[in-house]
Formats: sequence, structure tokens, C-alpha cells
Amino acid sequence: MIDIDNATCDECATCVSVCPVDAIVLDDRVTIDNKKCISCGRCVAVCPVGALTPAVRAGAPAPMREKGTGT
Amino acid sequence: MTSTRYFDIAVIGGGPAGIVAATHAAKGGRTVCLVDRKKSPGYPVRCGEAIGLKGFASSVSLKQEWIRSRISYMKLVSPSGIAVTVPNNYEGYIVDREKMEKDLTADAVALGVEFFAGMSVVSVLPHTDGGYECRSSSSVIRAQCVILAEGVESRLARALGWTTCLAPGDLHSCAFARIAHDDVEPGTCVFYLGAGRAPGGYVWVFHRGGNTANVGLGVMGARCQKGMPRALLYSFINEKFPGARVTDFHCGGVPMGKWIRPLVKGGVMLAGDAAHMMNCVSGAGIAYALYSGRAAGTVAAESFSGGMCSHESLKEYQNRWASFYGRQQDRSYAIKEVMVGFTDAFLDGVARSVMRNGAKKMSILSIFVKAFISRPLLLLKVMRLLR
Repeated sequence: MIDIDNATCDECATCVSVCPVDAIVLDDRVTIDNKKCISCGRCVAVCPVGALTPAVRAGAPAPMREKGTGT
Repeated sequence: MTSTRYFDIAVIGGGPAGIVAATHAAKGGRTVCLVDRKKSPGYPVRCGEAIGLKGFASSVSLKQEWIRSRISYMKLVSPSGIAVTVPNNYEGYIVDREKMEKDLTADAVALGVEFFAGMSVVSVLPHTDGGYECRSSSSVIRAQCVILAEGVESRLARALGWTTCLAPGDLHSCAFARIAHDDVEPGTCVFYLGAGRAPGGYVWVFHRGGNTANVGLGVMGARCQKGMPRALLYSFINEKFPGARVTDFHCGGVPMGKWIRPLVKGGVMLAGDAAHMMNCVSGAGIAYALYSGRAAGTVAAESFSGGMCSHESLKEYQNRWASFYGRQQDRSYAIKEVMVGFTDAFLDGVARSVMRNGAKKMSILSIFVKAFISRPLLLLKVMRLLR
């Protein structure tokens, strides 16, 4: 589950390009389908302006940051 | 009420690849539309705006009024601050991309391309009567052939079965700004390396006429943390250009992976960033986008006969791309995979050797030989990538 701050978002779609489950859409603005989201955290890490935040919901386990896959 | 419009070729995405694709498809005598999500072509610019002269020669005739600065030399600055000037064997420009794209769009429209601005296509799907149906919230476009040039997110292509999701190691998360400051060096592209400045990437300063410059940086996605590119860009500007006037801050993702294969499925072609076309060392993508647009548009037009499009003959596009820039990108990817393993100490060592021996004696090859001696596993990795 991810929250987006649309006021900070620059609509560059970097998050869309790394989402492995196609849960992020850029139309008039960026929206996240939290039903599809697997909380991998890739979008949070790569957003250049930090507009995305793992959502902490009551009773839900804390989202995990996926291990980097680079060399 | 939804209206349906019919074209031979629909181009989705009004960046350099899409505009040039539409232009060449129209030159080939087809009915063409160009659709862009944004209301005004060319804005905002998420780019350093650098392009070599050769990058134009193959695709578009360069207009003098697009040129903001002529680049006569490049400079690399090592992590500890050793500046190495690269002897120039290169003619390049910093161009006004917004103006360029507006002019190119006007040229396309003059050739008969129908331009739909501010139209966000949400799906492209095969139609039961043949061809494809492109839908936005308010209208439907039907076309025999679709060229997707929608940018790095390449989302419409995903729905058609392409894997376009980028691995975090194959993406640069970037921040850009224009600055005005008297310390900007005229006629220069300066690159700053170092994990402290841009982990897995670099900072660049491109002179853009007068005392202005495009300043930007890319951080490798796998080494990026929340908001890092913007924070690093502002701290770089404050350090090197204190008190600079900063305008046009934007950000973006740059694909630094392999180009997507296949480039053609059925009657759909991918071009530019949407096909992940990018020089993975320099991060230069405009020339690739222009060429892929020209090749896609030309091949699409040539594939029509008597109003029908032969999907088989569209595949020629991939052959043209592969032999023109495709192989160069494959090589750049292998080089990038080595370079991300360079430590700051290694880069400083190279810079010191260059200062001692002169840049001419320090070939790219000798740098790589050094790298392979210190990290033998890299050689295996590169051999695998180049095979």
C-alpha cells in the first residue's frame, strides 16, 4: 500500500516504469491501485522527488523495501 | 457520446520519436494521427537537451534557431575533484527542445498529420474487424497500425504483452533544473562522478547560452532512496553555483537497460523511450528517438498496400534499428555494467593517471584493462553481455 502526495509529484512516471504489477497510472495525475500493489517499495525508492510513501494502515504489517537488484 | 475516427496509422506520444514517426508516415502517403497526453507539445522538458550533429543528420534537418549552445569540449570531474578535459572529436549542441518539438509538430501538421493534444489514450487493443482501437475517455481512434512512443512508462505496450517494467538497476532516477550563474563554463559539458554526488550515475552541467546551463543528475534506481535525486541536485547547485537562479525544476526516469525486443508485435511498433532506446553510458536518447521515429514511420508507410497493412513487413523496422543504433546501445549497456562497478578510489586513480600521462595516452581500453585486473569477474560478465 502506497500513498501519493500529488502536490509534490511532478508527473514524470518514473514510478510507473518500475512497478512490477502495473498498479500505477499516470492520466491527469498519478493514481495508485492499492488492490494491485504488493508493497515492494520500488516506486518509493526511485521517485526523484519523494512523493510516494509506504502507507501504514492499522493492523497491516509494515511495508518492506525490496532489496536492490543492481550490481 | 464517443466519436470514432479512422486512420491508417496512429502514433501515440508526441515527443521526438512520435512526432518524427508521424511525419515520415505522412510523407509515405498514409493518413496519420498523432496523439499526446499533454496540451502543449514539448513542455515540460525532462532532458539535458544535448545531441550530437550526427544525431540530427540521420533523421531531421537541424534548424539554427534551435541551437542554444555549441559544445566544443567535455570535462570529467573525478570524485575528489580532479578535472580531466576530453580532447574534442565531437560536434554537439544543446538545443531548445520545446521549440524544436513545437516546430516539428507544426511541420507534421502541415504534412496532413491530425494532431490531438491533451488526449490521454488509456487502452490500445486489437479490434475484431482488424487493426486496433485506441480509446481515451472521450473518443476512439481506429488504425491499422499503431506506433507507441509514449515515453519511459510504456504502459500501453504492457497491456499488449510486452514486458516494459524496468529493473531498478536499469533505470536512472533523475532531477533537472535550469540555472543562471556566472560560473557556468561556456561551450562545455561537464560531468561530475562520484557516489557522494550521484550513486551509480553522475551529475551533468550543460552550457545553454549566456550564463545559463541545464544541470541534472541521475541516480541508479537500485541505489536510490526516497527523494534522493532532488536533494542531491539542490545540494550540488548550492555547492558549485551558490546563489544561482534556478528555474524549470523537473524530474524523470531514464531507461538504462536493453532496448525492448521484439520492437514489433502484430500491427504495433515501439519507438524511443517507450522501447527503452538509450545510450546507457551517456544517457543520450534524443538521437535514438529521432532515428527510431523515422524508421518506424517510414517502414509503417511502406507496409501498406491497397489500404491494408502487412504486419509481416513491419518487422523490417527492427532490422533497421538493430543495425543503426541497436548494436551501439547493446555495447553501451555492457560498458555501463562495468562502469557501475567503478569505485570512487578507482575513478580518482584513473583521473590521476590521465593528469600524469595526458589524456591521449589514456585510452578507454586501458581504463577497462585496469578495471578488469582489479575485478576479474567483470570480464566474464561483459563477455556474456556482448555475446
